[in-house]
Amino acid sequence: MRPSRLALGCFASVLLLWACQTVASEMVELRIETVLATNSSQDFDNRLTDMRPQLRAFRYSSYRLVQEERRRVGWGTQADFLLPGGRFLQVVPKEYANERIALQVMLLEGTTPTPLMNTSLSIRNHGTLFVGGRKHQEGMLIIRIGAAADE
Amino acid sequence: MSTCSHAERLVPLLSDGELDGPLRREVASHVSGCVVCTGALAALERGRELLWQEIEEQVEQIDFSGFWEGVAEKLTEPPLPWAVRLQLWRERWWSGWSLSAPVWAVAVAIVLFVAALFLPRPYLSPDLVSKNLEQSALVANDQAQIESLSSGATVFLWNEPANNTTVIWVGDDSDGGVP
Repeated sequence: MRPSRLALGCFASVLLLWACQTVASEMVELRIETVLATNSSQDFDNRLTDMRPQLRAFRYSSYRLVQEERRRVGWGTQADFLLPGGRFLQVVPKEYANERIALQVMLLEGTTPTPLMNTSLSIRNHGTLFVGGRKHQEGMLIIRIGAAADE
Repeated sequence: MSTCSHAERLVPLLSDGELDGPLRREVASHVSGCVVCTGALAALERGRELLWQEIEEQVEQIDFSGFWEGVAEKLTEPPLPWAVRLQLWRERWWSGWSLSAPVWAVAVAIVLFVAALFLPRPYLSPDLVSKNLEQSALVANDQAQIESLSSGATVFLWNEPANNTTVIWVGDDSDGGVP
């Protein structure tokens, strides 16, 4: 292979990687995990092992993952998540700055969904936030919201 | 056997040596036995002789001194005008550059990368340093930063520094309290 063709190939590869990275950085992955926390038993769902240290912030004896959903969305795009008990979670990733992701989070409830909580916040990239306090079955729902952007 | 009417068209060709083979022999045989055609052939040859003589006289009058020097001078390539030389140089440079454009691109990328590594950092004022430190602290802080929060219910908000956990607890009116 001639040196000029080799260089052309390298240049094209770098250009392709740059293009892929540019496209990828315009997406953010949202991860919504819903946990049912109760005091009715001592059971701990093994799927929640990675968040066990964080769940120590709560005083429940049993934790079970009831729903998990991941979704890749564009910046400024609203993502609606249906939660157990007929609740909704609306998340809008607004921007990425200083290695932090700005989010607009709204929790809705009811047959005609009414906003229960609306907040504008930022979390570290690949970081999480917990939203809880809504009763479900014999326990409480705890929602972990995670966001990860490609750097 | 050729007749004069047949041979008179061929005599000029015979004089010029343009006839071959049997036709030449036939015409030559007729001319040798024909007074008219012999006279015609003799007139043609005499005319040719006079033509050559005139040409030679004219040529002898031409001054050929310095002829070869002139040819040699013309053979020497004269310097091209600046516009033509500039155009030729540009075409050569462009063809060479276009073939190695990727190499140039890679080289420029490497130079920029090295320059970014080794160029001195710009001066940071104390205020800017302080701002950068605040941003760094914000980046290093794993906890969520709440800009605004509104709710119709009772909301508890706390951070657990031990495990960098931020909790927004939306109290359930019926049975919601801080866990």
